[in-house]
Amino acid sequence: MGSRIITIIALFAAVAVAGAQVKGAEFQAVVKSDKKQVVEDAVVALVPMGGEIPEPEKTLTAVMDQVDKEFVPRVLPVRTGTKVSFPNSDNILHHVYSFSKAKPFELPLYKGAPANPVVFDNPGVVVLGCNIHDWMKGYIVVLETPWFGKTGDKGKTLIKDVPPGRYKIFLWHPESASKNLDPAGEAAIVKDEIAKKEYTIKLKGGKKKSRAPDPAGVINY
Amino acid sequence: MKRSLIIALLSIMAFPGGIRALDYSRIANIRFDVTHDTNVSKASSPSDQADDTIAALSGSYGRRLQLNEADRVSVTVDFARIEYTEYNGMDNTRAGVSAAWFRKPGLGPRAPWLNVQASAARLGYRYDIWDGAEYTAAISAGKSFNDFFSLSAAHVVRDRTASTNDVYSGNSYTSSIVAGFSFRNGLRLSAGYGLSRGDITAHCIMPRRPSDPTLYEELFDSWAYRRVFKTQIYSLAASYPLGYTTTVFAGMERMEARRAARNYPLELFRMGIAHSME
Repeated sequence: MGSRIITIIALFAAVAVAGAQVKGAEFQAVVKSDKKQVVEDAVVALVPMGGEIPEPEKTLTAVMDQVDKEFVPRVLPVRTGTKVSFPNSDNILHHVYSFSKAKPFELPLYKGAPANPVVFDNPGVVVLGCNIHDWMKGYIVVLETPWFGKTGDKGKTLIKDVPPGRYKIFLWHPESASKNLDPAGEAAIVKDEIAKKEYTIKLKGGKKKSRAPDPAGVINY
Repeated sequence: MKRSLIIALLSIMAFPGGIRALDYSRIANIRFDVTHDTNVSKASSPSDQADDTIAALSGSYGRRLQLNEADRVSVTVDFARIEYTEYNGMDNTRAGVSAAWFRKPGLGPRAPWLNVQASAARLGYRYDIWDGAEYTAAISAGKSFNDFFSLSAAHVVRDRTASTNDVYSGNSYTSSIVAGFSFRNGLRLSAGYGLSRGDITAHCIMPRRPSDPTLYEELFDSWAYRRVFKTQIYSLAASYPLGYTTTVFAGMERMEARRAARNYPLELFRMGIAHSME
């Protein structure tokens, strides 16, 4: 009886240790602009210094929707190898394309869900457009590392299950006007601790193009 | 003849028989602007020139038909109400229809585009000697060269018919080119130049030539006469998006209409807001 209890306790302990090893620590980043305002839709990525990056799962999937003639979400960070589907939730046609080197592709005029998702197998920033609605712009940030996050409306992101170690931090935002992620320093991740960091990203502006017709600049005499 | 061609063009584009649209979407735009016109009377002599401030509310509602990946046709019903601060006799209501064929054969915002447009409108004025109809046909093309710089060119043919007289009838041909500069914050500046040849109804205290169509006009207390002018048009404008569906804009146009040694200068200072409900 006593040996069975010890065995059960040992099993629980082993599972707990294994779980702790898998889970690792957490990294919380707050991103602010150079004007000290919190920044939404900033991508934060952690790349281990010297450590190995685990192979991506083959079943990674993500969705970039089109709602009310906008890409939703506006910024979608994914791991390399992710299959992204592009459903069209509007009741009109969209024509999605990208010229970006990381993944040039085109989904000609369609409604509903295209038959096949698009596989993003090269790292980099993929800028999306719609050939019918020129104001529509979306971004898929393809990352080799599995440790990344995107800031919410309070400029905050929490990246979970980060193994302890030293990491290089990279940042990107649509208005940073950078074609790739920019290095933002280093951070040490310690087991069972939440590492909290604040970053500043320089935004060069970039208001969304208005849907309203632009009457300025038309000579109508 | 020109009017017939414009109506034919309008009919073909408004009722594209035999063409199957892949998709329909709604067009709904509204715009309000205020313009100061330094020479409403289109007079040459400074003593005959009258200036006024004009408020205009206009809108269009219709459908856009996506024909294929490159082509779309739009058909709209257009409405405008224009009110003058001083010369109320020129207050007018315009109601009409427009049709346009837009072609962009390439992919992305930098692909060149072509637009052919035709419109017809009924014009009803408070001072009814100006009542009539206006027919317009326009062809324009443009290209964005990068995120910041774009060029467009247009040629517009306009035919105006007054219901009760010949003085306010006439037609004109205008060619123009506009360069646009977009900034990261959404501000867009544009500069344009146009050259127009066509009829203008001008005013003077004494009629210049008995052979011109002429009539006495109470509003400006002067004679109105129609003549063919060459007009140079210079424009500067700025627009700025407020949110995703609204744009505020301001600009000025200087027009120099010439006939022999006489100059008929006109400046328009305009500001307004445009909203899309698409």
